[in-house]
Amino acid sequence: MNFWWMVFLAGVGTYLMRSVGVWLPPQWVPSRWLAFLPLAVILVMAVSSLASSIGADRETWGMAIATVAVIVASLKQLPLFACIAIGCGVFGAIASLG
Amino acid sequence: MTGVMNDFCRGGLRASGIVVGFLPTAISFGAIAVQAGVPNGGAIAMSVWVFAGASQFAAIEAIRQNLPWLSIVLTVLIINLRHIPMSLAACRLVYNRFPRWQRWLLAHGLVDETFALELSEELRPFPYYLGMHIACWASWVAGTWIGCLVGMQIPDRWLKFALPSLFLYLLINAIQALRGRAIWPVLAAGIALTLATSRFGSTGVLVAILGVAVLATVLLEQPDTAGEVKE
Repeated sequence: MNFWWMVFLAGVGTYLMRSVGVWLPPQWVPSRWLAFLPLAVILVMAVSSLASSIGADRETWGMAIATVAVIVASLKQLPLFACIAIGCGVFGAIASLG
Repeated sequence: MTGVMNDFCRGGLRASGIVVGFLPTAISFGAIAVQAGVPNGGAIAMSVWVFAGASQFAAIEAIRQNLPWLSIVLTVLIINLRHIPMSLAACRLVYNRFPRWQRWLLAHGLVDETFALELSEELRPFPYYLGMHIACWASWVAGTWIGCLVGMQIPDRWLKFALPSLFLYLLINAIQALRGRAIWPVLAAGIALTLATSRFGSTGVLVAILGVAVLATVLLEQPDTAGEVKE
């Protein structure tokens, strides 16, 4: 089994999982919990991506301050791109200090 | 035709935050893949066809360790298991208005970031989602290609916080959309569960996602929408 077959099979399997909502009859899936799945994915990915940003001291401080900055920007209803630019700018500036 | 192109471009622009976050990660993947002895074409093919960051990194590490092919494929599939509930939700809540061939097409671009963004917004036409998926996918593939060519020479410090910013933004909007419901216990439990399961890698992420979804189902009233994003 060479590398290319491995890539092919991994891709087929991943695609089948990504398309399960297309080929699985909807009546086989309970629907109530699916309505909360977006919140679950967003919450878990937010927490895990923040946790993975923790590193050296400056990065940890950068993560904490950038998190607050993005939360404030979101609450002020700035557009998504502005929030991302603010987060990247604050984190990058603090992580680059020294 | 102009309307279709407008929607397509609007979707692509909407994904610009994801694109910014994807590029450094994809560049790292390309560089690491080449260092592990994978040919440039192989790394790019993996990004084109698998298009799943965490599992691609895991596969490269497994290749570097000379693990058997079956265990590499299984590793990739286990890490990507979370796409099953995401696909069920996306098809039920968003893609169900589209013809089947369009749903098959959109399925390939269904990753954590596009899922979170799409289900936080009001419903849009098919070209909008296609533009979003193609922008993300193309940036992942282009980043891999750049990584294969230039290696680890590009500092990613300034872009490292792009994806955390995206998810924070979406989380704040989701919380605001669910205001008035008993959201805080769900948030607290979700944060604790995510941190507790983080040591188990992608399997832990899957467990945490399903756990939060079940908890929210028990504790919260049914949302009107998944949590609308206010522009």
